[in-house]
Amino acid sequence: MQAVVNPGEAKQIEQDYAHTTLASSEMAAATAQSTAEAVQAFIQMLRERLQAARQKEQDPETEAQDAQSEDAVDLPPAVAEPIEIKMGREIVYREGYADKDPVNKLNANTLKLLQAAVDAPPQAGAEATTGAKGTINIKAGDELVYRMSKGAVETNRLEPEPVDQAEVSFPGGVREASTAEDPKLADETVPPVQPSVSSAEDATKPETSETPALVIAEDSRLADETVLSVPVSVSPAKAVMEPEPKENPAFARAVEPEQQPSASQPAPTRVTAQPLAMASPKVVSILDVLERQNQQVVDKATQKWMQQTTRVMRRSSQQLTERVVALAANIRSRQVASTAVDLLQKYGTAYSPGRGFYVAENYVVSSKGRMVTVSDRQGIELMTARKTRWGLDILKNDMVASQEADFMKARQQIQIQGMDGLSADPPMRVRQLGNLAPAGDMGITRDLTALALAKTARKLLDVTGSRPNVQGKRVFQGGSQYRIEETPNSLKIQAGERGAILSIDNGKIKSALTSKDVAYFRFIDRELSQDLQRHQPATVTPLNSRQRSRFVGMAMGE
Amino acid sequence: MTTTIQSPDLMLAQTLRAKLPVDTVTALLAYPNIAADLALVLDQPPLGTDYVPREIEVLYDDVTVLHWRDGRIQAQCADVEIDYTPTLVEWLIDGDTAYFSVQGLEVINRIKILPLMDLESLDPLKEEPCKP
Repeated sequence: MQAVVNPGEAKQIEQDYAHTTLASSEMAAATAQSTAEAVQAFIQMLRERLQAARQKEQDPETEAQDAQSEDAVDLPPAVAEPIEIKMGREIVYREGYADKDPVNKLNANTLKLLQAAVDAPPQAGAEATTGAKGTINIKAGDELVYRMSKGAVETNRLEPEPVDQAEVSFPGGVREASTAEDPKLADETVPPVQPSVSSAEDATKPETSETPALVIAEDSRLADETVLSVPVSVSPAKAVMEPEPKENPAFARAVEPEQQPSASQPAPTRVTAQPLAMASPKVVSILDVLERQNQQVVDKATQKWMQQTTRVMRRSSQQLTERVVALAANIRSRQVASTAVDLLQKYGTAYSPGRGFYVAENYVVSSKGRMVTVSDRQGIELMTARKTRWGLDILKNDMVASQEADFMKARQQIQIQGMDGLSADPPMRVRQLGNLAPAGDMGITRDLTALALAKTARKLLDVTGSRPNVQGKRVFQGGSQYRIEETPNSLKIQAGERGAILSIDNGKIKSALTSKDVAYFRFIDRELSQDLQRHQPATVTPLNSRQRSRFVGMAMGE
Repeated sequence: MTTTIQSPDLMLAQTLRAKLPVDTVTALLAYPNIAADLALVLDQPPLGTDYVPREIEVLYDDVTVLHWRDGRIQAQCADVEIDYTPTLVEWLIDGDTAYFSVQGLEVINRIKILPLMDLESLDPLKEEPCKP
């Protein structure tokens, strides 16, 4: 059936559509404008806090200089210092570097996380880390002024923000000064934002601060998994543009009821050592955000697991959590020991009755009678277990999390493939067993991978028609970061700032390949092979060379 | 013979499109470095029915906001504004990506069959048959 629309109605529809489109584009423009302002205000705040910190450091010197320079000529204002912010693996903001393009991927949401992060002081005892994943790094010029890694602040050279300036930082009223609202709270609580650990401690010790109301809230959370029902889809536009509701009563009650003075109640005269931010209805613990986010997970089983795990992390019930954690540790230890025994039985060598050992890439498993010992390759004992009629009895487990994880990964492969399904080919075995593969497998795999890459690199040189110069040198420099140089006796692949990632020189192989390098060359190889297949007649490959290419392909992860 | 060498970006998009819905790939490609890392682990099998984590890290917008190990929170991000909604959510279990979503769209989920971290679910896992 066809809908009939009279000309008057059609015109109205057209006008409505035009108005809606105009309104939404105006809104988008206003949002972009507000976000841009918020970003600029945040960057300005960073610069000011950094400058304040530097001035504080140089105070004695500055005073002396000021005295001398009172009569000096006025200088032009200093150029704004370059700033670079990296969140995890992506640079989200960069401005002011002469040799680098500016970047701005910040939005209202990421600003909230950054604001929370920079307000936290360095955590005592936080060990310096080097990785990029999971970190926030802020550089001013070449100097690293802020670093947070694994949730702990390692470096913070920014002067703490003065309380009365908090509102100035965020145009559009995104952030409210938590203390300015209640001077009494400001006087009696600890400085701006507490170290993350103290927040964690507060969250993990409910019995010290909980009121009966909170206990009820926690219990109901245990019984019903959907207690927290804050709408989460707050768009960046909304966050910046609209003044937010003062508080969400349901959420606030479930989280920190003792810190929500109602209109009829006077503000508390004494506040325990809580993070100041918690006194404001505007900020919540990251565990609360976690609970709320868990509810957005589509798969119900995953959602349930995340919710339960969050409760364990929150230590909603201290005693119960202790038992769960102890039980989990016991299960893991037995699984690790059991995996060690499985591998010893499959790959081990017996050197006298009742004695055997297996040397893996990073571990040695040995047995003497009923005793099984796992050591690292330096000979440090990590685990001792005894086989009994009822199972494996763990006598000692000094493994760190990453070592246990090696065994758990191998165990998973054994479960999937079965012991007989473990490959006899070193490259495949390395992929299955990782650091528990027989010693030497990784070296062979590394060499085979390097050779496979070299083969692809030569193909590229051939295909692109790179001609040798007088010294016989051929070069390929494509659109990617990789540069290939070949001479009659050597081949070198360079990857931008990382320098040489592969060199084969007079039969000597050196490689520092990442899985991304391998993935890239594997893709190129596949593309070239398809192209060659399309254009060349089929050829018969001798069996030996076919076997060799299978190993090489496997080394490249085919 | 003409050979076209494709750019790494295109290669990445192709790899992802072979395994993920178009919307998810589009959202993920706004973060090329992260997408490239994830492309390498998309085929990881789910964690087993008897897998018990020892270390968990939760990352929001590629930043670790919570680090839990050996039954304790080791560190957590300071309090954030109540309506903070991360675009990227990742759970690392024992160092490996176990769950990843972008704008609520699932990219990796290896958590589906893990046992719940409670006594009822863990108790049956505590005994193992004796090795011969």
